[in-house]
Amino acid sequence: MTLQTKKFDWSTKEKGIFLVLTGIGIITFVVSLFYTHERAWAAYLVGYYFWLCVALGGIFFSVLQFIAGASWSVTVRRVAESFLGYIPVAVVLFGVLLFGVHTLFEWTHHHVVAADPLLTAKTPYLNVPFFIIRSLALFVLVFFLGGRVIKNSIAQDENGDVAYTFKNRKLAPVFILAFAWMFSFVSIDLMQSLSPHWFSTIFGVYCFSGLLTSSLAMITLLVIWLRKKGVLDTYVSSDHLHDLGKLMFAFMVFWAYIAISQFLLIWYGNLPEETFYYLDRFKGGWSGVSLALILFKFVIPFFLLVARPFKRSEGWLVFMVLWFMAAQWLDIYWLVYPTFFKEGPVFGLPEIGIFLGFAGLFFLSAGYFLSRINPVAIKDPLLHEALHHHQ
Amino acid sequence: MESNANLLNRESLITPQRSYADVSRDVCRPLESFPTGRWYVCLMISLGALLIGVVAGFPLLRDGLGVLGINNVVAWGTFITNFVFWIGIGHAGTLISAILFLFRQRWRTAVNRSAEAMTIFAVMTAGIFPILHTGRPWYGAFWLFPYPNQRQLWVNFRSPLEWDVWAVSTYFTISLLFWYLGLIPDIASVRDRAKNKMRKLVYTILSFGWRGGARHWNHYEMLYLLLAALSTPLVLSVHSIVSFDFAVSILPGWHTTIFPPYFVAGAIFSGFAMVVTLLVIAREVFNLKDYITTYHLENMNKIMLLTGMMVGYAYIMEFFIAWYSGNLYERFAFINRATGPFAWAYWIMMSCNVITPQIFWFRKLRRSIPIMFVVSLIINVGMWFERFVIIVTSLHRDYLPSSWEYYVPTRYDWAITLGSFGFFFTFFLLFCRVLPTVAMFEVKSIMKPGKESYN
Repeated sequence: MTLQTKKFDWSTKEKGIFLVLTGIGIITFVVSLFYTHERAWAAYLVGYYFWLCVALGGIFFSVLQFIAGASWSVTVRRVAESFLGYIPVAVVLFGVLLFGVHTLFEWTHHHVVAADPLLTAKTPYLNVPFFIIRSLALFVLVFFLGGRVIKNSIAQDENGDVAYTFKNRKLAPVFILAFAWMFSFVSIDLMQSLSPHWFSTIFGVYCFSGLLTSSLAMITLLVIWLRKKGVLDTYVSSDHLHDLGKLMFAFMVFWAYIAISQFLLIWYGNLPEETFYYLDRFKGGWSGVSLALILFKFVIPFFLLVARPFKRSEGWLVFMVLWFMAAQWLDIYWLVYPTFFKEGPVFGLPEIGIFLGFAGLFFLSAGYFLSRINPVAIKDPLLHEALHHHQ
Repeated sequence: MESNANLLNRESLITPQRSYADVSRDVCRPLESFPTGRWYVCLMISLGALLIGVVAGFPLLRDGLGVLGINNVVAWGTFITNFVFWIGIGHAGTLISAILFLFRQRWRTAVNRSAEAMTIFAVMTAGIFPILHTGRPWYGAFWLFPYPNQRQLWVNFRSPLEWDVWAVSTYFTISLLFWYLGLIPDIASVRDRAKNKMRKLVYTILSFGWRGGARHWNHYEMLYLLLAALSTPLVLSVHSIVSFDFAVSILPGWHTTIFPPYFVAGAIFSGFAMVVTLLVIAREVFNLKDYITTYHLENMNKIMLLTGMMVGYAYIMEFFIAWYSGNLYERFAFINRATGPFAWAYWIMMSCNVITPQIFWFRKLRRSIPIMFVVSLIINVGMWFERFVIIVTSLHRDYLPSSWEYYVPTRYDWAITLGSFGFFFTFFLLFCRVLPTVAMFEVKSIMKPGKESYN
C-alpha cells in the first residue's frame, strides 16, 4: 500500500498572522505589567494554563489511541501529536510565570503564611521549590515519555515496522498513569492553590474534563483546517469528524457531571471552609459569569451539538470548536479571576491581547512541528482500518 | 495479535471455523437439554444460601433491626454495605451494553447478555436491603414513594435517599428494557428451534412476534441505539446518587467531592470482577469457550486494571486532600481509617483493590484463567470491604469521643448477606437455563464464516 501525502506547509501570510499575534501578546503583557500588574499576571496565568491544557490534551489523546488499540483515529492522530511542539515553549513560559508567583499565589508570602496556621501546615506542599519541581516533573514526563511514544509513531513512517506500535502499547499505559497524577497536582498548584484555603478532591478530574474538551476542540479545528488545505481531505471523512464531534460532546457532558458533583456536594454540605470559594463567585458581577459558565459550557452547546447532522458538518463543527474554546477560557477565567477581583469581572485589552499571544505561540510551535513530519501516520499498521472507517 | 507486512490484524473475537449453525446450537444447548449435574449442584448451593438468608430474615422482621450489629453510633452497617455493593455489581452490564456499544467495542457481543442479566439481578438484590433497613418493610412503599394523602405528608425530596429510589428504579427499568429488547431476536431463534409445543408457545409469546423482517431490524437497531444513549448517563447517575447518600453529609470521610466519579469507577471495577467470576464458570459449565474467549476475559481484566487504578487514585487523593485541607477532623478520619480499630478492613480494601489488580499489567497473567478467577474473587471481597470501610469507619469515631463505638456484625448480618448471594446466583442460574446466555445474533454479525478470522 503506497499512499501519497502532501506536506503541511503554511503560507507566509499565515505564519505572519501568528507572529503578529505573538507580538501583540508580548506587547500587551509588558504594557499591562506596568499599568495593571496583578491583572497582567492573572491574564498570563489564564493563557498559560489554557494552552498548556490544550497541548497536554493532544499528547494525552495520541498516547491514548495506542492503549485503546484504536484505528479510526490514525488519520487524525498526527495533528494531536504535533501539540508536542508546544511543550518546550511551555517550559519557557513556565519560567516566565515564576516571576509572577509572588503576585499570584498568596502562599508565597512568608508573613501571610506565618500568621496563618492553616497555611503554615501546608508549607510542606505549598512552597516554591516543590511547586517548580512538580511542574517540571510533568514537563519531563510529557516531553520524554510522551515524546518517546510520538517519536516511535513518527519513526514508523520510514519502514512501517509493527514493532513501533507494540513498543508504544507498552509505553502508553505508563504514561497515562503518571499523567493522571501529575496533571492533578499541577492543576492543584496552578488553579486550586490560588485560594490556598480551599480544597476539593475532585479538582484534578474537573480540570482534566476541561483539558480534554479543549484539546479535542483544537484537534478538530486543525483537522478541518488541514482538510481545507488539501492535506487531510483524502484521509479524514465526515465519519472521522462525526467521531471527533461525539467525543467533544461526551466530554462536555462529562465536565457538566464533574462540575455539578463538586458544586452540589459543597452547596449541600454548606461548610464555610468550602463554600467561600463559590460564594466569591456568586457575589457582585461574578454571579452573571457563573451563570454564563453553566449556560455556555453545557446547556446551550448540548443542544447545539446533540444532533447527528451537526457533528458531521464542517462549518458547524468549526463554530462549535470556537464555542468550546471560548467556554474553556471562561472556565479558567472563572477559576482564576475572582481570587483577585472580588467586586466583579474585569475584561479588556490585557485579557484579549495576552491570550492571543499564547495562541500565536501555540500555533507557531505546533505548526512548525507539523510541517516537519508527515501529516498522516502513513505506515501505521491500522491505517487501513482508518481509511475504511464508516459508522 | 499477528502481523503480516504492514497490517496489524486484530485478534479473532470467536474461535475461527465456527458456522452460524454452530452458534445457535452451542448457545441453545443448555436451554434445550436436560440440566447437567453441575448445574444442579450450583443451584442447590445457591438455594441453600438463599434459605439461610430467609431463615435469618424471620427474626429480623419479628424482632426488628436490633438483631443486627448496628448501634447508635454505627447506624449503617452491613445492610447499606450490601446495598452499595450490589448496586455496584450491576454497573458492568450497562457499561458493556451502553457505553461499549457507543464506543464500537465489538468484543462486547459475547458477554453483554449475561452481564446485563447480572445487572438486573444485582439491582433486585440491592433493593432488598434498604427496604429491610426501614425496619418495617411493609410500610416501605409509603415511605419511599410520594403519594397524595390526607395528612399532607410527603417524602423528603431533599434527601439523597429519596433520589436513590428514583435513580435505582429508573436504572432497573431501563436496564430491564434494554436487556429484554436485545433478547427478542434470540428468543425468536429459540422459538424457531423448539420441537415441543408448550415450549414453542412460551417462546412465541416472549418473542413478541419477531419475524426478523427488514422493518423489524430497522426498528430494532434504532431503538437499541437510542436506549444505549439513554442508558449511558444512567451508568454514571445511579452510583453518583448512591455516593450522595454519604457525600452530602458533613461527616469527615463521607463528605468529599470526588465521591460521585469515584463510586462510579468502583462500581464498574466490582461489576467487571463479578462478570469475570461468573463467565469463567459459565463458559466452563455450558461449554461456551469458543464464544467467550480468553480475549474477552483479557479485555475485561484490562478494564479492571484501569478502574482499579481509578479507585486507587481516589483513595490516595482523598488522603492527600485530607492532609492538604488542614482540617483536623478530616485528617483524623483518614489516619484513623488506616491505623485505627478498623485498620484491618482498610488494608484488606487497599491490598485487594489497588495492589492485586496490578498483576494484570502482565499479559500472561491477564490471560490465565485460574489467575483471573482468583483475582476477580479478591476484587469482589475488596470492593465489599471498600463500602464497609467508607460506611463503618467514618461513623464509628465522629466528633464526640464519648460516643466512639466499635461495630461487630452479628450472625444475622452475615446470614442475610449470604442470603443475598444465594438470591443473586439462583436467579442467574435460572436465567442460564431458560434464556440464551450469549447474544447469538450479535455474535453472528461479527462472524465471517469461511474466513480464517475476523479481521
